[in-house]
Amino acid sequence: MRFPAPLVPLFLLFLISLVGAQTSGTGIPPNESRTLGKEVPDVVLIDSYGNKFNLHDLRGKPVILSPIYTHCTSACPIITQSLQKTIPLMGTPGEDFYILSLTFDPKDAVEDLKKFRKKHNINSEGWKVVLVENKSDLFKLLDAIDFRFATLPNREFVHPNLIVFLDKDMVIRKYLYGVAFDKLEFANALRIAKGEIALPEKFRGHLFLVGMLGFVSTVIFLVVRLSRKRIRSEENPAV
Amino acid sequence: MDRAEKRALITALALLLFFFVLIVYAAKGLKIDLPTCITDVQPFKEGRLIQHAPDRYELQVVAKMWFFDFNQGQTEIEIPAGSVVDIYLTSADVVHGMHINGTTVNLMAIPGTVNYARYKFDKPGVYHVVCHEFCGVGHHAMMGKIVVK
Repeated sequence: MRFPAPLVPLFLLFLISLVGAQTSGTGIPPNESRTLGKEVPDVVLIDSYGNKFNLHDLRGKPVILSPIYTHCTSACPIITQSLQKTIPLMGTPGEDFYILSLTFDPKDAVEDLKKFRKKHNINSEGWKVVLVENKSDLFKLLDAIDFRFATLPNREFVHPNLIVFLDKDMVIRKYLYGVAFDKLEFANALRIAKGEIALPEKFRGHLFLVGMLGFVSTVIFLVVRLSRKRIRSEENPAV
Repeated sequence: MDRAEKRALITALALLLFFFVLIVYAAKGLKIDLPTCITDVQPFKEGRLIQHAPDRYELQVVAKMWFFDFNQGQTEIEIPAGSVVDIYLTSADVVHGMHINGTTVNLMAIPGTVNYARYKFDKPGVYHVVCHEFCGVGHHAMMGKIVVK
């Protein structure tokens, strides 16, 4: 039997919907459909030198937000090292974009940030290790990017490994997952944060719906087709 | 095809589509979250109530035969109204259930895994917590209390 031609685009739609499916990390992954395209709140940050500034002071350039906690012994140092490897290939922090290593541990103080900065040798003007001054504001910011963590004993946390790209108006544009970042994916995310959105990205939020519609219409098509065939063979048993 | 058969088929398909639209509406429009199961974490052994910010709590509950350990053995806890609570639940022995009366929090406590839900306690009052999974002779008496002030 020949593969029915109308099924080909439907099958392709189904395959595309599979590609769009998310891979989950540790802990609870964020629900991107509720955060992408939303502005993050303007909170007061304190960097590792004790300087206070507003998050929205960084308007004008894309911001790469990397949620970490300073006592982390596993994922966060690796994320920071991957960033250090990838960033020089993408541009200069401070000129092309800003990077914020943001601690989500409510107990972290400026001293902890200092240690973290020294340990990872972060000396660039455009790359800051920061904490949120007000605890309630910290959770406003974490909720805005839908970052959830669970507390373990000895100041350890379970958390998803990710970085968030904000555009020049502090709107959430893209998430990258994992502890190491692919060069092409990173460049693509940065392009999105700069406003050069590729067409597939625009429709990414609707992929599930499109895939589901494709699936449902395939089922309907098959049912109708098979039932017709059965009727035909009943009418004409010789065939 | 027989007419009745056709009608049944069309009705079934229409219902299928209708309920699919409802599911999408519940997830996107009403923003109803399903409880999240975390399987790649070593479950905690003891209940803990951690305050992260004035209105932000993390509640780690261990369900045991036959009580809820909310905070180091306590079966009753107090939080201020308007608090957002991240609830993590695991079991120390058999499968238990945990329903916080008057809320949408309804989780299963499964040994070896952690279940998660977030809830904002806006209304002050006493929220009774019951086990709704038969877990032995003490099941009917397995309950806890969350007091929201």
